[in-house]
Amino acid sequence: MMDAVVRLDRVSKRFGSLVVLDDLSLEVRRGEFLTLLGESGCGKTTTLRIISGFEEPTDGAVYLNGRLVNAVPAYRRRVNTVFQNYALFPHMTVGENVEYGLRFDRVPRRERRRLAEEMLARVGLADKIDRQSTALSGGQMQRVALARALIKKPEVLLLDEPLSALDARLRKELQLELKRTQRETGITFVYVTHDQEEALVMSDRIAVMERGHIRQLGRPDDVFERPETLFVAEFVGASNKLDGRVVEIRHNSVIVALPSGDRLEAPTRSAGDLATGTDVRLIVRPEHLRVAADSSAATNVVRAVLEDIIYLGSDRKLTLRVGERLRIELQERGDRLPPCLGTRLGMTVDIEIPPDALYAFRKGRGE
Amino acid sequence: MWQAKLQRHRIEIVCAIAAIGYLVVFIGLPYANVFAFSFWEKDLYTLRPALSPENYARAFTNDLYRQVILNSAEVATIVTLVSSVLGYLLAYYLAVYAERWRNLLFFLLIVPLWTSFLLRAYIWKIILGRNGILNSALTQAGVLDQPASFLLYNKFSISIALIYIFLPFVALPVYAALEKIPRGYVEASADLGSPPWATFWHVVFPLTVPGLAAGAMVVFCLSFGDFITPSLLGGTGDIMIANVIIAQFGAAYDWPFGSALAILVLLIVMLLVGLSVWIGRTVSRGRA
Repeated sequence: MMDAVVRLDRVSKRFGSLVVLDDLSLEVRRGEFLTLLGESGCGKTTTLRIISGFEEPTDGAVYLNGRLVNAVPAYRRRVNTVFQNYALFPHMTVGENVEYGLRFDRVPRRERRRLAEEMLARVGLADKIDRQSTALSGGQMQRVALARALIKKPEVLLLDEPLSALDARLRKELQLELKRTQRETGITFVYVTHDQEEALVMSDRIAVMERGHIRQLGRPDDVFERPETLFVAEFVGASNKLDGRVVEIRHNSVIVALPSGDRLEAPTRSAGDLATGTDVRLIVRPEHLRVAADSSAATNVVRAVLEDIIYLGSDRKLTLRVGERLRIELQERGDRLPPCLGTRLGMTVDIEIPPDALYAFRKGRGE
Repeated sequence: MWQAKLQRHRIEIVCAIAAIGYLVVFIGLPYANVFAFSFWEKDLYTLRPALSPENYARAFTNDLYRQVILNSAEVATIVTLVSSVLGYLLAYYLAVYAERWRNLLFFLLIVPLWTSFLLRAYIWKIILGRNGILNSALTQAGVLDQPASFLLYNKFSISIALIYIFLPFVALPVYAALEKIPRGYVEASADLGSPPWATFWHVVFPLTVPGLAAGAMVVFCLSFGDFITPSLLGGTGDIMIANVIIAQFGAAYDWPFGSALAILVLLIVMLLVGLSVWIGRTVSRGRA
């Protein structure tokens, strides 16, 4: 692709014997909102720091706008960062923080002030310009940090878990605000988070990372609905895990036997990968399970003991036990559940698992 | 009602009493005593309580004392400036570059503080003296034909010793200030396009100014009032004000005049310190 703002070409990063990034390649398209999603230690922040120039890759090449920048120091890259803890300069006012970066673009003092006012107005903090930066709330600091980075009109804006220090409600609010800012400015965002919901809400594309690799790169619906690996399937979205063994191979599907004796049909998306006798893990999301009205009609039905019903407002979450020790969860709108389910606690119910909702992955292989 | 209040603020009250008590006993009373003495009169060998401005008049009109005070101020200023610069550099090196040598170097910086002040001043006699280490080395190496005598018993030797002694007083608070600066600030500055020197000037330095100022102030006050170093390492022309004051309380047996000089020194130092605090505040407000 020609229009890659950032291109990482077979980048590796090692600290001593610790491999943080392992032969990672990534292209960030101009104007997109790309999220690096993964647990702590998966290499997402290191990837960000390699783009910004705070870390140098051990191997591989980093391109910004097609230009090799491995040897270019951070302060000469047209890339700006919103840091996790904002890193606002405590000895400066809000306005001084925001206009700070313009000093180095030879913008005259008065113009800097004007631009800072404009940028602060955009994030709704115009009246705070002469406040000391330490006198702000977390959400306000986050907005100032954003204004301070955006005023530089970067090629790419890097955001390192910028919302992780905020409470849930403010986080939701700022997610939408960030997304809107990104759309309006057209600036490329590379966003790092461990919060998969955040990633799903905001991103154009998501790169799911694990142990220095990108396990899957795609649109949110790809990642959520069509996971390519066991890791992605387990990591993105809540999921039930059912371990079993392939007992039969059909045209486009396999039959998997669970330890409880139940047999489930699952489509094979990666053909030829699974042979009879292979240990597999089936992944299915709680919201895809259904309580079967009567067991005769449907295929893929397992018998389970209803252990608990949790009230979640419009939804209910059912905790079920299949066989001796396998626990699964089912989530469904309350009005779609059979009536009087509450009286059936401790009794068996039939659970239908639509084959489409099942993902079979070979077990015990880290990819 | 007030009993409940008393109950609630018990610890505060205890602390306040302790602090006030300390200030009164160790600062207030001695200074009040010296202040009172400074108005007394001396008749040959007796001291008589009085309210006489005579001692102050004498200090102001006599050129000798003015010269000694200026001399002290000069030495204190040089010592403060040099130890600030060197102390800052040292602290910066320790905080930023030293890495695995940090603890060792830090230890070496602090160890001299455990030895006596007198010893630390005296050691320079051994280094700078006519048959001292430096002269021996230089004559051995053939740089000098005969030992140099200009090294010792002058302002140079006093200043060197005081700089050596007081360097940690600057380096330690600056180091503490540098340590407290999160790496995020430096990275944020670079991220916003600032070259390393500009990051130092706009971000790192302003955040260490309080530490530097505190250290420099202590150094200035202590070196202004020091008497051991000048009496060990100074020549006849380099008497500092503390030596004169000591002499008034000792040999001259003129406590009132000594007290007047002490009060004057106190006022001068307070004035200078106040001025530098004010300047520091104005500057940092104007620039930050």
